[in-house]
Amino acid sequence: MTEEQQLSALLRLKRYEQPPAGYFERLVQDVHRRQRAELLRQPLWKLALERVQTMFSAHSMGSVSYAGAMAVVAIAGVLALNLVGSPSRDTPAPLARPVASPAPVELRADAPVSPRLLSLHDSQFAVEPPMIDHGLNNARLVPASIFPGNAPAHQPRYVIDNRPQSVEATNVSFSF
Amino acid sequence: MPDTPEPPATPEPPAENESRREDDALIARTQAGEVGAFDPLIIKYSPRLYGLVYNMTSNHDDTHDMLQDVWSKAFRSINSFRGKSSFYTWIHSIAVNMTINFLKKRARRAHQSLDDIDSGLHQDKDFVELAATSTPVREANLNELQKRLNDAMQRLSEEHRTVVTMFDIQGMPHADIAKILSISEGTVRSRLFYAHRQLQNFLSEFLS
Repeated sequence: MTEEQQLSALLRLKRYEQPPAGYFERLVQDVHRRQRAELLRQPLWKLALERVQTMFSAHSMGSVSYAGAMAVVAIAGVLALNLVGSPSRDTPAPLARPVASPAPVELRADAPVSPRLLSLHDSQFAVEPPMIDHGLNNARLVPASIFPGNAPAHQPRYVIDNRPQSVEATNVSFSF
Repeated sequence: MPDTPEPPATPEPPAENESRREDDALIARTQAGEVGAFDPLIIKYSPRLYGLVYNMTSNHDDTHDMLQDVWSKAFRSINSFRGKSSFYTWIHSIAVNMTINFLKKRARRAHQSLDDIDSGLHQDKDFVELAATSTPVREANLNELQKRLNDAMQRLSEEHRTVVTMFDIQGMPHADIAKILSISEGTVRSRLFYAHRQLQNFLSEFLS
């Protein structure tokens, strides 16, 4: 025998290393136990994934199966994004922030009159302000809307039809 | 290319037509949902798989665990088996790949061999011939011989150990090994050549 043949013969002796009798019958039971244990250990998502994989492999769609699966996932993703992005008709619109009502301006006859008090440039209110005689004898606030054609309908403006006497002396002009 | 000997006549790979037809029928029944049809496949192929895994791990407990893992995985993947190769090739591929992965992860530890070697070894033709030509083999205690063989196998790389196990111990032809490992027959022969050279060094005292 050559060395090579001796080596091969020596290695073949390892065929005799076998498990005890009855081992393979017990192995079947152990495999069953292992399978049941694995089922209990598997998370739900893994079971679902396996079912999906099995479904695709069972229909033997070959190379298009994964492309089809990806397309389904992409379409589902786009639909989900649309649903999330657009406001639902059933859900009520969010409540508008309450606009803080302006604090009433206290105008007293003895209080000094400043042009600021009469300036309504910043006014955003369409409601008619109260006609109050604040000691300005001839001054009267009249909504411009009562003069048709003088002011645009959307932007209420107020004009003073008479100049107050106290103001004439200061030579203050009002230009609205 | 080295002149490697052909494997022994026994055991024959169970890839004959009749055997394959039986396997295909059992697989079809399993795929149809009859889970019990898988058990005959476990019983039929486990002895060969045991030899394959055991000679790669040299550890009985590891082999037992690995076989359970291999069969569990095979059962889970049975629907992906299309019959392009034989079940014999398919299950061996799973076993080899899983065992190689296991060996890469396994920490180096003492090997635990089987307690007893079959008493039929004394009548084995190879053993009788070896004992006649090699004094160390004749004088060696069988358990000691087994230990030395396992040690020598474990000193090989996983790839070399795999081809030696499949070719020299299990008697698979080069073509089957190439299919199972997804490598060319030339690579199988090359690995065998280098593995044999190393084993001749490791076991030189038993070789005259």
